[in-house]
Amino acid sequence: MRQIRSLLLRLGGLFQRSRQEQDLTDEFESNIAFHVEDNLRAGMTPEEARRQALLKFGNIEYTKQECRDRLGLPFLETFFYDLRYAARSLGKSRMFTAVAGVTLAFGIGATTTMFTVAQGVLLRPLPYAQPDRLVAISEVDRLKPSTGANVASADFADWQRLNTVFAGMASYGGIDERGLTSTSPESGRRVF
Amino acid sequence: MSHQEKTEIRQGTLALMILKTLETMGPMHGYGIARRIEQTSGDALTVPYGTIYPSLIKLEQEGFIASTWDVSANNRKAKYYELTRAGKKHVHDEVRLWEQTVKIMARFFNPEKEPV
Repeated sequence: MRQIRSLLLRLGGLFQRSRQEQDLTDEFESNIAFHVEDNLRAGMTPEEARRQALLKFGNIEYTKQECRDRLGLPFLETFFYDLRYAARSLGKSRMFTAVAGVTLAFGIGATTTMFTVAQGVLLRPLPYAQPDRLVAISEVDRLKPSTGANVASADFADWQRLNTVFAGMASYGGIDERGLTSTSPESGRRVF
Repeated sequence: MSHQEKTEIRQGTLALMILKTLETMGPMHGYGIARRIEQTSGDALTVPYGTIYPSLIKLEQEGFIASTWDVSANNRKAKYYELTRAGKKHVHDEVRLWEQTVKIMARFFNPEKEPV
């Protein structure tokens, strides 16, 4: 809880830099002034009083930097500086930026296209209930087993009539394609 | 520095010294706190006064102290720090923890006094 509060304040601190800076300067100055007064009261010369006060305070710039680091979030600030530097560098060499941009665009475009295809073809399940129970039946030409043979619609009608193992049959393909929901297609060239 | 017995402030102890000082003394500015810490330590600690400021910022961010700009008795503008309610509770808890730690460490330093 305390850490969150601290973090939010430091995040907010990033936007109050000039006020914080003024605050630190004022505070350190007042510290030294108090010390000088004390030293004067102790009988020092004004020069010695100031010298001793400054000595005792320690390195002012270093202390300020420590305070700044604590007031803001140094790593975030460094990140923003880097970002700004990168943007400026890119702006300076336009040609390089253009080539890099086009390369990235093509790369992303090509990858997206390939993935879309792969997902549609390989990854997405078939749009039917229980796709794991679907099978394809086709005739095979024994002389040329590598090529699928077409099924005559009369043969399909016979298969369907004599079917005892499948819950249902439908045909697809060919010019006169029948929907897979149809139970009695007549002129498909292949069957399920 | 010039005296051998002077020691630097140990890591993690400064925050509690600041809180305890504010608890005892009431609202104070940074210089007053640093001065007081040095005096309370019997001048055994060397504190460059600047070192307390990062600690003050941290304590304020954690909500244990609050600060306001005000004018001192001799008419000088200064930032005054005081304990918040959470700070008061925190001092109490931290002091207990320290006392416990000191007791435990003491047993290691004087093991012969340990009842068998």
